[in-house]
Amino acid sequence: MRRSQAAVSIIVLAVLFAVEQACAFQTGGPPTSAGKVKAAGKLSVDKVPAGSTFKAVVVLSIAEGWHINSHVPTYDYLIATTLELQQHAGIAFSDVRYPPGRNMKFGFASDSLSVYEKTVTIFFTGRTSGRIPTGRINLRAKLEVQACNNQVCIAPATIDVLIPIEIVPASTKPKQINGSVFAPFARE
Amino acid sequence: MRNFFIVLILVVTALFTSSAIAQRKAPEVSFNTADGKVYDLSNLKGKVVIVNFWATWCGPCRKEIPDFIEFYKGYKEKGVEILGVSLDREGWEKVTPFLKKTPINYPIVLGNGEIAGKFSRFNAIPTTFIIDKSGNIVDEHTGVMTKSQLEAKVKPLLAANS
Repeated sequence: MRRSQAAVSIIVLAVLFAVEQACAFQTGGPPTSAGKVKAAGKLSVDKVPAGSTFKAVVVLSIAEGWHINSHVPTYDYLIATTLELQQHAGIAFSDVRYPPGRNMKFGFASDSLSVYEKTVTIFFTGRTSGRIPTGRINLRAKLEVQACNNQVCIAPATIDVLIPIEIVPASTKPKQINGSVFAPFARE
Repeated sequence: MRNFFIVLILVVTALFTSSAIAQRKAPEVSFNTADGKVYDLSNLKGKVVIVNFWATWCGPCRKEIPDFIEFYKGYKEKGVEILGVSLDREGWEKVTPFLKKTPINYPIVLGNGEIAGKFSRFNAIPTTFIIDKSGNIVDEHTGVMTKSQLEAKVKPLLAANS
């Protein structure tokens, strides 16, 4: 039993060594900021009737210890966080609202920088035409981000965001959902 | 049997660590400046070469540039070359205006993810590689480097026989 245990250990360690050597020869370059930011879309209603207005958000979760530049960064050479909504037949988008940046001081800059950290939300409004076909579709958006911590930066990334949406007949009454997410955006 | 097992673990661990820290040859890559001058790493043997990956959008990268400029002033004639490899996606469209506002006294060239990957699997910038006179990568540093840090790394390499 002891000899077989030793043999298994030798094989496992040899495999691990071989994998490590194989990984060392991979090329492809450094990772991007997409590894530090997760983006998820949410709607204000469970279904969207044709000919109606709905609210949506993209929630950004930024890795602990990292930040991304706000939509209006302090310096023009910094890459801004930007959401680009992809056109979809029968849906018009408007009122894209970015959160205000937080001014934070970092060791590599003499001025405070306007950044996003932790969790931030980008809001927008959509309006469906009266003739839009019913059924399930995906709203698509491209989110550009570039992350740094207090010492280093990671390459910018464009993150694809998908927001599933169900288009229903105009007479359908949708149910309001995600109330807590949309409460800050309610207009007075 | 127990002693054999312990020795085996030590041997394999040594193999892991030796593969990680052993010197490795610098990749065979060449770079072009904006005015077309070619820098081929294989032709720079005999010099200590510093390859610094940076980008105009990177605050820490911009912070260390003055130190690199000062270091180059004192060490270029002693046999040191610095290549500032920009990873800006837009290439010279971004880098040229930056250089007009911030003149840099060492060669600035363009790179990309594929070229960066030939050096190592570094995951952030600034990242600086130091190559000895024989063309071996002997140091890799991610984060801001000061002039003092560069001097500490480079002086022994200059003193060593090629």
